[in-house]
Amino acid sequence: MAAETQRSTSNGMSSPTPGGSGGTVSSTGRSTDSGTGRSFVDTLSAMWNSRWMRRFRRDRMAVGGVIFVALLIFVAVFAPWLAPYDPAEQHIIYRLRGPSEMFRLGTDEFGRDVLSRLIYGSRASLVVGLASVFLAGVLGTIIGGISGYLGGRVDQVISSITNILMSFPSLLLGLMVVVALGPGTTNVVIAVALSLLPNFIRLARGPVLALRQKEFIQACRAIGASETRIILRHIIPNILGPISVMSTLWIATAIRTEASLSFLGLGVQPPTPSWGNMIRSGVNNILSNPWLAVFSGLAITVTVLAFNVIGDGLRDALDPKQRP
Amino acid sequence: MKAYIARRLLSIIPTLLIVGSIVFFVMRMASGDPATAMLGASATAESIARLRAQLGLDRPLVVQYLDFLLDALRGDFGNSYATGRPVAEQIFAAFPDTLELVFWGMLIGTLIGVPTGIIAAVRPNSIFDYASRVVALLGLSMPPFYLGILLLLLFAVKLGWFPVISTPQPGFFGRLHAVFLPALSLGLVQASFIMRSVRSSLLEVLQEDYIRTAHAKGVPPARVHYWHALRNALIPVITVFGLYLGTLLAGTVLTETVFNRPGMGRLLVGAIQQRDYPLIQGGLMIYAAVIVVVNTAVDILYGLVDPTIRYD
Repeated sequence: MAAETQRSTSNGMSSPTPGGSGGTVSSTGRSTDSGTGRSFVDTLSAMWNSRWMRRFRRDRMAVGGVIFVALLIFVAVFAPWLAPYDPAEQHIIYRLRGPSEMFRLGTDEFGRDVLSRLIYGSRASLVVGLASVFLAGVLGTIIGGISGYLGGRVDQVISSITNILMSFPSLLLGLMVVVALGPGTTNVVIAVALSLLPNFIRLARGPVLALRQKEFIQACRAIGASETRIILRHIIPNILGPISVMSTLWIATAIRTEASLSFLGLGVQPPTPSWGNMIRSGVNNILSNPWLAVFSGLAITVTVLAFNVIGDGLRDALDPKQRP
Repeated sequence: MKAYIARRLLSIIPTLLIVGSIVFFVMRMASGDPATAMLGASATAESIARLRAQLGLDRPLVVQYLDFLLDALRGDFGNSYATGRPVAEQIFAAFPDTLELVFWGMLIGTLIGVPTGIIAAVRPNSIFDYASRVVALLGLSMPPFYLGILLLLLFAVKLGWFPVISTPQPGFFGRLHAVFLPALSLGLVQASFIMRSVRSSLLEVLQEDYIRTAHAKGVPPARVHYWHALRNALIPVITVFGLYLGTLLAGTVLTETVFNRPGMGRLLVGAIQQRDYPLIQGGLMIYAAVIVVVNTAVDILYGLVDPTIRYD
């Protein structure tokens, strides 16, 4: 691992890696024994200097996306200090006003400040986006890992159900789960996570299938390591890199699905502000104050765009063959 | 080849069975009791029990499940709790409007997405390529309903060219007038997805050895691009078309809500809000059936156009 990193550093990054075509596992530059005997800081710095990271850092759009997301997290965390008003405070005389000195982005149908609600609404989008992807990632890695590692009947059943679910748009799957669980923030996290789950199962299964044949796994088996230990200590750490990278792309989908569900009135419930339910009230009052829908939709679009740009950048960096 | 098609067609049955089972059991997990929901909080335990018996909700779950599957096979999804009318009848009435929207949306998406993707791939890193990629990225970052809202604000509210409530009017042009904005909002988002797949697929093909050979032996560049390369580049695009059609279908749920347009999506959302389980079940099953059939058709088509695919 260390040797390879060094080599890539001295090589510069102009030459496309021949290893890039060998699947995502090898293209990350992580060799098969990583993640076990080294400290977290070492792993991080190795990642920072790795070939794909250097390619990623050159991608200006992707770096812009990272900066935006960092800003957004800052806004979400420090919402109480940044918002000019309490997001629930009603200024009844100023209902459905357009942007003004007093309310920078106008007010909604209860006379609440739209800017403050957008600031607080970032929390719902980020929480649902990150939590659901994390949940789906953990569950998907475990299920996909088991499916790929065990093979046979189990793998067949899991793969065919995954294939069927993959063909369903995530909005439809999310809708189905929300119908079963009822609306609310926690349930939306579960619904979005389940709608993304098939993607993660498939993402985890492929590399595991390849890893299973590797010598070091056979060596583990030969010295008598248990199956559980092999999966948890040797298989999973090796597929974590590509999965966590691809997760960024799914955060974009997750935020969009949350917004769609909230827009239909099935997601985050008022009075908790979320960009999706703000768009909903914006559409209901579109003739009196069109700004409400426009601003909340813009917030969603820019955020999803940022995650998409990061995801695209990571994918290009990891798989230089796809690059024009 | 025939055996391949037959096997693909037969695989629809177990797929629908699995989907049907998922829909049924997910619906039964639902948090609220439909009988209570229908009668309201003030209902007595007796009347709730009576209604449950009437709806067949007091029978064992397995019996209800088998019943549901057998009825669904005959196209019978029970009666709506809210209106008492057969679910199949309501879906049948709403489906053409949604199908119309899907058709125009897909047409707009294809007509814009495919040529844009081709031009972008043939001239990589040109201004056109860069601009179309940025627009496409913006298009697929927008929630599908947001573009609809923006179009509605501009063309219906501000300019007044189109109705704010897109109820289809009689006659071909009346329908077209009502469907135009919703279809455009879906189609433009769709075009972003299609453009990206066409571009990346064509870029990959253009790097193949046989393309270099064609160039080297003096075939005119246009012929190499649009004859040798494009035919092969479109093969993988066919697969994603199936997926995009599913996304488009789901997108109609949102678009119909934005434009107040009648159709399956509005029916489904209304049913969800009223806890009208037979209607939700029926609606989801129809969506599922359409998606499964489309994907099977895509699979078969894929086998037909790609001579390198193996049929066993």
